[in-house]
Amino acid sequence: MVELGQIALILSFMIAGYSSVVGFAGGMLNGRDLAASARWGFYSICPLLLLATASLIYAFVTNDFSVKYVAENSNLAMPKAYAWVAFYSGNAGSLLYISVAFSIMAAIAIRIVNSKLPYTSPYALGVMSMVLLFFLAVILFLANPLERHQIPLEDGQGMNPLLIHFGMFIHPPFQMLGLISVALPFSIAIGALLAGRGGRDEWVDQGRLWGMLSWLLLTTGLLLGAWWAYTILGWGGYWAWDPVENSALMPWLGMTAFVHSIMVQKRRGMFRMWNMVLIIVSFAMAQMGMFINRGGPVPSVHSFAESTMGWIFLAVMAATLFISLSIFIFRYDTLKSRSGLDSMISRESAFLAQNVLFLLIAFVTLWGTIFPIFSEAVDDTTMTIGQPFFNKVNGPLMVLLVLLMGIGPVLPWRKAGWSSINKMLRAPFVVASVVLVSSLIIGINQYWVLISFVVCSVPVTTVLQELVRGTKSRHSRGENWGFAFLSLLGANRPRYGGYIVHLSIVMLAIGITASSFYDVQKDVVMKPGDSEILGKYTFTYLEVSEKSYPDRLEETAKFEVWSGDKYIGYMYPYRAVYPEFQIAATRGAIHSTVLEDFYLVPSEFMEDGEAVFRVLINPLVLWMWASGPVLVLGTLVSLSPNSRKHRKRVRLPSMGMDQNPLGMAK
Amino acid sequence: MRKNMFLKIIGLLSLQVVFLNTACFASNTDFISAEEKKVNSLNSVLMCPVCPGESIDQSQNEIATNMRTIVKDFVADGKSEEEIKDYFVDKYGPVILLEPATSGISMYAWIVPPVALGFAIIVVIVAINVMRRRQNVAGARNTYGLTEESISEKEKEKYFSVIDRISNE
Repeated sequence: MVELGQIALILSFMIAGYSSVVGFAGGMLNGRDLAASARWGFYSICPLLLLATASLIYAFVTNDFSVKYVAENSNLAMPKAYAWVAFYSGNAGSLLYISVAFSIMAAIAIRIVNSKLPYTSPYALGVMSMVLLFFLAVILFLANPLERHQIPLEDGQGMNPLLIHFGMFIHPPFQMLGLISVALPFSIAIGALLAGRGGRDEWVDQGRLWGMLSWLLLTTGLLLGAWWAYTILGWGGYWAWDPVENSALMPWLGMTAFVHSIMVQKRRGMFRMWNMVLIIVSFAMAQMGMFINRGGPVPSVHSFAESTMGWIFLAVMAATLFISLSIFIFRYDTLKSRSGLDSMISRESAFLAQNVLFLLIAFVTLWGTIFPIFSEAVDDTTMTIGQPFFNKVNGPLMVLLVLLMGIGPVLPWRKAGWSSINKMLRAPFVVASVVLVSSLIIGINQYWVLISFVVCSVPVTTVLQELVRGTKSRHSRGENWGFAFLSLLGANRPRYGGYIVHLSIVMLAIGITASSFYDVQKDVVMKPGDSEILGKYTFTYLEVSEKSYPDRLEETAKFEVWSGDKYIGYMYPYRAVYPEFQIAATRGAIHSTVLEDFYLVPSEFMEDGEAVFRVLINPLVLWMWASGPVLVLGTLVSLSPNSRKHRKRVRLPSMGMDQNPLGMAK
Repeated sequence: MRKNMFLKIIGLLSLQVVFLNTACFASNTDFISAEEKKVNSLNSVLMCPVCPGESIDQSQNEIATNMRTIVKDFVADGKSEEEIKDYFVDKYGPVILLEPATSGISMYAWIVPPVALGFAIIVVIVAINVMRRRQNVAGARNTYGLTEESISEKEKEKYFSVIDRISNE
């Protein structure tokens, strides 16, 4: 069975090579047939790679330990459903996963791009084929998951037990998908640059569409990763500024900047060069992420330990960066802006400031991540840069970002006069003051919490203000309130979808602030029958039960928990010891409410019946997880196409424009 | 009418914010002793030597557990944060701290981010100025005999607000 997969891999490798050469040739010679041939070749890669994937999964399901990758990443004890997780939990398999997922996404993308941007499409296809070609080459020549052992084995080594968790079904696939999907808008941008035809802003809609999808995947991957860490890693936190987390955050920052600044090009024909630079840098950062993930120089809990192929990724990243910047410089003259800036204070400037701020955070994160390598090389000092550093340095920058998120969207394009600024920012200012005073009265005395809450109130106010204003103006034209609200959202979906996303970011920011500054943590030693109190929670350790599995020993504690006078019920945190891996995996039991999480996790069960538990109260964590669906909703609203039918005809007004300035025909 | 609406928004928001604040107030951390807070903050800046990048607070490793016990005992003995950190640095070297020192080459880790922020601010200001100058040059070419002064600021703002609203709708 795996042999079939092997053949499929070799075939797709050859076709990807063909498509990249013929794609570029089709673009340069303006050959429609060549381009079509390359395209159909690319489409045929999808079923081939799916076949290779199926053969690997089949090997997992049938416990074919003669396949090296299967032997390394599963064993007889592994539940069958985890064949899917095992598929991408090792280095070689994850490369195959990335390839197959990318081939499908790219095929869909190129189908759409081809109908919208005929000149750009062959070049974009060429770039995408080259990306795929690289991954297939690495699989075939360096890390083939379908390779067989010389000597067949009885049982496999098994998968890292920390990966046996529901979250593993979705976090890694989303994360890898997110990282590789940055290649889509990148290919379209480079394709448009190379084609140099069809107008300067023609690629913007497609670049935005795929850029936002990629951004959505990255965001989902990050949030799911945080959720996974929180529920399984058993330390009560969700983000540790680990090198691999950082390297997943950097492309996200770059893409966030990109999906914003591409709107400036869409609306105003500006930032043309800047958008190119942003997408090139974002793709480089995504490659960097894959580099650090694959045995890069920085130690991390996430990396595939056995692999040193990271350096190949680094070399390819450098080459990509060099080539794409060369293309950029070569085509520099096609990227002049349609117009310049009118004023220092305008939405354009706010976008620019926001972009630079995002890149700054990415840079600082990169700086902290690689500084230990730097210091070791220069000064022979080995050191670690971890969570405390990043919190101190990036925290304030992120607060600044939230502030900008509140102000930027209400500034008008071109030029903001003082009267309009005054009108727009009066409410946020008043609300921020109210928040400040009420926070002080309530007794919040931590500096950064005060600043963060006050700043968070600004985007909430401006967004609500915009919604109320818009709904009211529609209502005054005779629509009823509900309809007015919905038609307002529908009228400018990129904008109002963006507002929804902004609100979800505020939820995230509030959750992060509260849970970082007001978390309570205590280690307690308990015997069965003991009761302890933390805050308003009373918890009694009832008993521990042991259960033995082929691969692990599970010790589950049973707790009875009360919150004040309210009975919550039993909670079952557990700890599993995997003797073969010498790893203990703990899973916390969490009682979540809107206000706070009560989190119980065992650290150690001792011989004499005593056990050490860690008890945490984390405020507002639920808000962070709740922000996820809101964010997805907002992004989808923002991406949903405007149907032309509903577009209003707009006539420019004559000078008297007091009552109905747009002369809207209703 | 407008004023009314305005007040309503403020009322709504203030309520929401007060509600959030109450949440944090409810999770008042006062029921944790200062000693325990000190232990927790130390645990989160000390790295577990065998699990790269993880603090002993995070790690489930036995060494981390032992180190947590040491920290707890030291704090109970009344040792200062610096003394405890120094103890671990003597034992494992500066690698053990998750936060770079503020002296020697480690200083650069701290200096570069604020310098980069300053640089970024300058870049934004310069970029905006350059783009404005370009606009003024382009504007001068396309005025068809109209000078800047022939339209007052107020009128311009009126026009721009209309254009803005059109491009938003």
